[in-house]
Amino acid sequence: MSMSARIPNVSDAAEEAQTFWQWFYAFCSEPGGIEILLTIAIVATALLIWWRLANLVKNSRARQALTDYLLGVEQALQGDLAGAQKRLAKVLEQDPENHYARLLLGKVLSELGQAEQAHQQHLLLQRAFQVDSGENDLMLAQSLLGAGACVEAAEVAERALTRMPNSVEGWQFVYRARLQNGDHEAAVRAGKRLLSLLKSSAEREQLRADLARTVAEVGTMRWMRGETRPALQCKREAEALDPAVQQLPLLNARLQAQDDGVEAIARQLSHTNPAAEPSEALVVAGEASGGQGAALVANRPDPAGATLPMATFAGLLQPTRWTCHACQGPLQRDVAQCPRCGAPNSSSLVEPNLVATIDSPTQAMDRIDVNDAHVDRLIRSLAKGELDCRGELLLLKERAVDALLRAAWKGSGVVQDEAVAILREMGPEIAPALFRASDAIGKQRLLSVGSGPEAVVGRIVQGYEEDALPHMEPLFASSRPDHRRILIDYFLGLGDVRAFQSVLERFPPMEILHRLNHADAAVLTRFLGAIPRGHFLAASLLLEHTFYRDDALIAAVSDAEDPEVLVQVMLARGPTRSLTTGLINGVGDDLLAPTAQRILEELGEPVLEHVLAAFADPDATEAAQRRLARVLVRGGAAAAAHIADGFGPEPTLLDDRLRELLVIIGDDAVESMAAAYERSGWWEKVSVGLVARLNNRRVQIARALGELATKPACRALKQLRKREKDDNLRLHLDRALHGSGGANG
Amino acid sequence: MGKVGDLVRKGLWAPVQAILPKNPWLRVLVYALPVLLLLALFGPALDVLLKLVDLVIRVIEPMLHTTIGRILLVLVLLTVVSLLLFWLLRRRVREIRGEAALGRHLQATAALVGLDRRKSRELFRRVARYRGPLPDRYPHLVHDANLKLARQSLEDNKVDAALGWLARVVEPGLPKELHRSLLQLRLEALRRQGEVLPATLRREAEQAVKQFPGDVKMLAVLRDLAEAEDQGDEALKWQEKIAKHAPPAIVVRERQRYTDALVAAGERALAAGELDAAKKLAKQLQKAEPDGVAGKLLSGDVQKASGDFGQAIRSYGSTGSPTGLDRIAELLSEHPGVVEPRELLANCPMQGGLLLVARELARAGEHERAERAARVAAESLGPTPTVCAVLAEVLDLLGQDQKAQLLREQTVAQLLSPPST
Repeated sequence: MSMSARIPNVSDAAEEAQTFWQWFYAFCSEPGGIEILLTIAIVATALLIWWRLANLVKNSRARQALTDYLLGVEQALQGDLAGAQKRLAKVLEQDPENHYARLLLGKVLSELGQAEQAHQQHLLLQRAFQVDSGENDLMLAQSLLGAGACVEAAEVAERALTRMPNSVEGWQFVYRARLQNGDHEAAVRAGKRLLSLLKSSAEREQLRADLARTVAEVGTMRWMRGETRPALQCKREAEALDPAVQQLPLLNARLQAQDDGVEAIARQLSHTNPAAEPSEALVVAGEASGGQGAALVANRPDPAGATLPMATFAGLLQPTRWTCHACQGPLQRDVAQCPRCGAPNSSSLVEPNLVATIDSPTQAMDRIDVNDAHVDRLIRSLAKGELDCRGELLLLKERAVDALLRAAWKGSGVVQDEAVAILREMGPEIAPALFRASDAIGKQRLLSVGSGPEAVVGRIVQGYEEDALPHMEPLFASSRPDHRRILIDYFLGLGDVRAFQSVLERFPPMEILHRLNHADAAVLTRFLGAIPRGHFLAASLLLEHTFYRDDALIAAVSDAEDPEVLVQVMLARGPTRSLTTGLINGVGDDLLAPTAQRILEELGEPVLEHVLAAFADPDATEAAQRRLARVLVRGGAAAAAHIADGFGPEPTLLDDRLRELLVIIGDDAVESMAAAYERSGWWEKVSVGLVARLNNRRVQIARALGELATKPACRALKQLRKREKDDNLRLHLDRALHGSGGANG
Repeated sequence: MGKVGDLVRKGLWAPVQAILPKNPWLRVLVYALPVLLLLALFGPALDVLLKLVDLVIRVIEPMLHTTIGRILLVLVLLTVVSLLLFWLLRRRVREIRGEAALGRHLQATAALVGLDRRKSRELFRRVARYRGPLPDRYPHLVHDANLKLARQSLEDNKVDAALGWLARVVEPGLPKELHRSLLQLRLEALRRQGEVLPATLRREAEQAVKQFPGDVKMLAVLRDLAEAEDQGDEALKWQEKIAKHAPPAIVVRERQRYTDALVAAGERALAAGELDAAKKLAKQLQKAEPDGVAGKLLSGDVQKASGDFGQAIRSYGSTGSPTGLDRIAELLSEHPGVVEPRELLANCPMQGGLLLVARELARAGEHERAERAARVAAESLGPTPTVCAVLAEVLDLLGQDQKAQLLREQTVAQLLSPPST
């Protein structure tokens, strides 16, 4: 159906064509036809030529200041930029619509470094005159780049390139602008487009190498963002573009390190092979390992590695000291403009610290020489609380001992503590130096007022452990009393009785006792706790009356290896005032209470009065009073005698507790109570019966006997009743007796 | 003879001229009147004229009956009309031709400015071929077009073609701007062609520079000639002028080149033992680049050559640059122990100086001080490529290979570790 519809159409068209040619032939066959056509053709040609000429003439006549314009263009081309600017500006004054003059003026201004004014001209063309020209946009982009707006420049240029996509200059510009901007990914896109447009093989090779570098940089950035797969892809792409590009080994190693571990790859790469070729050497001095001939610094030959070497790690790093901070490209020196991306003043040092100024070369050298000035400076810093110097002082060891000891001795508070801590941290190796310093300071002292440096040395040495023994042994030879004291203190501090044997063998007992009496409580406690059974110390030295540290003996019992040793020592030492006081104090301590109670009980009668006094102390805790009450109860009749004598002239709350104790003591207390009842006070004796016998003591005893209510108690009450002449007391005795009798039945 | 005849004719004709009317039509009438009178008096002569007309009609008439004849007649008629019009408007036509050529030149210039090189080349070629009347407003358009074509040919590296275009330019009467371009392009073309004798080229360039002393391109030719002839000092002189007159777009590059040339000249002077000349060059360098390091480095080199090592180290150190450190390292390698480490550091107060001190001490066998210096340097600088290399060298000298290896491993590990870790 459709075929049949088509056929007539085709034949119609053929007929029409045939008709036109037939008509044309017929017209030409007519007389005058050809002549008319010829005339028309000649006249039309003449008119056409006239029209074109008229256009050209119109074009030229429309331009004002023509000579200035054309000569201005020539000046711009020949490099006379100032002259060109002047002429073109003059042209635009007379003929503002000469867009080409404006375009060229913009270019000239840009080359004159007046990017802002150039931008203004291009913008005028684009906006005011609505000139839709890719060239103008490209120059606008150039002026923007000149003004430092890299991103805008690249964007404007890319927009311009949509109108002229095959412009090599345009893509070159975008590539550089993107590099200046640091947008390597966009630069790669522009570079690839540019690569497809370049015709010269030399230019193509050059761009391939540069593009490979840019792609590798993109890969490095991706790797830094943790995007391993895209980084790997970039690496492959860069390899395909130029396998010799310098960034590749580092990127390759980084990617490999992610798979095999950083340490393994670092070890592998940093391994020195002395037999390696110079190009494979780890540290390359003076020349790039990649063999690209890049001199290390300032293009000077390096005579046998005389310059400062720079590690390239077999080509991982580039042997250049400068880099462009815009495009990250390596630079051989400090250049005013990056040859790769064209960024102005973009060179920055790879190792800026290398040329950073040292605050004080003298101080730095002092530090290297470790001289007095340096040590003094460190000590001053320490005094100011700057703890940075601590590590440095620790490293100095013996060199800093004298100064530190002086600081510790003269200083106070934090400074002293810090100095002592540092000296301790230096370890026992400095012990001889420490003693030497102490001697030196001692000799310099004019007046021996206050404690000397020995006290500080002692504090330090006290902190040493057994590993310091080899360093301390030689000091036994010293005859200086302060050294001897420190030595004894050190051995005490060790808490090792076997090691202390050497002290016992070399020093007189009095000197040892003296140090024991002056020892720090914690140190002495630890030392005493280590004394074994039957040791000379327990058997003899600690029993001396000149040993005053009973408090330490008591304190040491709880942690002692053999507490019985110390208990026996205390018992053997007897109820000295210090021991009794210590024991009574120990009763208040939960840890020491059992031992203290036991020793007090075993010491018996001599301590009971003290125990009773402590019991009666209103400040004593309830627990302590309970424990002391137990000791008193265990004291039996002796304790009862003291208790019965303990009732005051007037009734108090204590009377009830004392009476209670007497009741607990029981029958053993009856005799003591009766004796106490009978005993007259000194006032009674002086008054010869003039003063009444009735007093609180007798009343309390009578009540206690009544509360006891045992047969001996009743018997005692009866005897007392019988002998008592005072009616009131008899009455009290009767009440007690009846109370007890009633109880007994 | 001719002159005498002319004088006689003018003398006889002068009274007639004086009495003739001013109106041209009246003049024609006055001229025609005697002829008509003569024709009236001589009837046979008129008949002859009529017969001639009849003859012409007889020739034309058969042509009107054939197509070819009519075509020929149309062509003849149009030609005659054209020639008549051309003759009548000849001044106007001259003017239009000139203006049209100027219009074409403007189009070509616009294409050039608009970066359409192909179109501009074609249009300039047409202008260059133009041999008609020149426009009054810009009579140099043909030469201008020749110059532009020459420039384009040079840009396309077609030196012979460029010379061809330049040869067509007539020098006398050229405006100053075009003359400058002509000289500039001719110098460039001759230089590139390479067949002209250097002396000729130099003479021409010097003459050109005399006329245009601030033309960078002409100066560059002279500089290149001097460099090719290995005349460093002369090249330096020209480069100095180039750096002075260069436009802002290339001034940085040219100043850098000038500095490099001064450095090279200084090195040459040092190599030749001309210390005074080198010192002068160092001063020139400092003047050319007050903030740069090259002048101080050259001063240091001069001082080193004269044996004043302390002062040399001070000069190198004052640069505050890695190159300064390198020069000091070189000096110390060549003259070990020439300066005390304390003096070295005082004269080179840079952190990198600590590396030099460490290396010096290690080389001198002062192991403890070297180790301390290495430690101080490492603390100040951190694990950088130079620190790693120098300290590895120092530690090797101290016999601490394992430490050196560890340092290398740490530095490489730092390079390989991602930033987050």
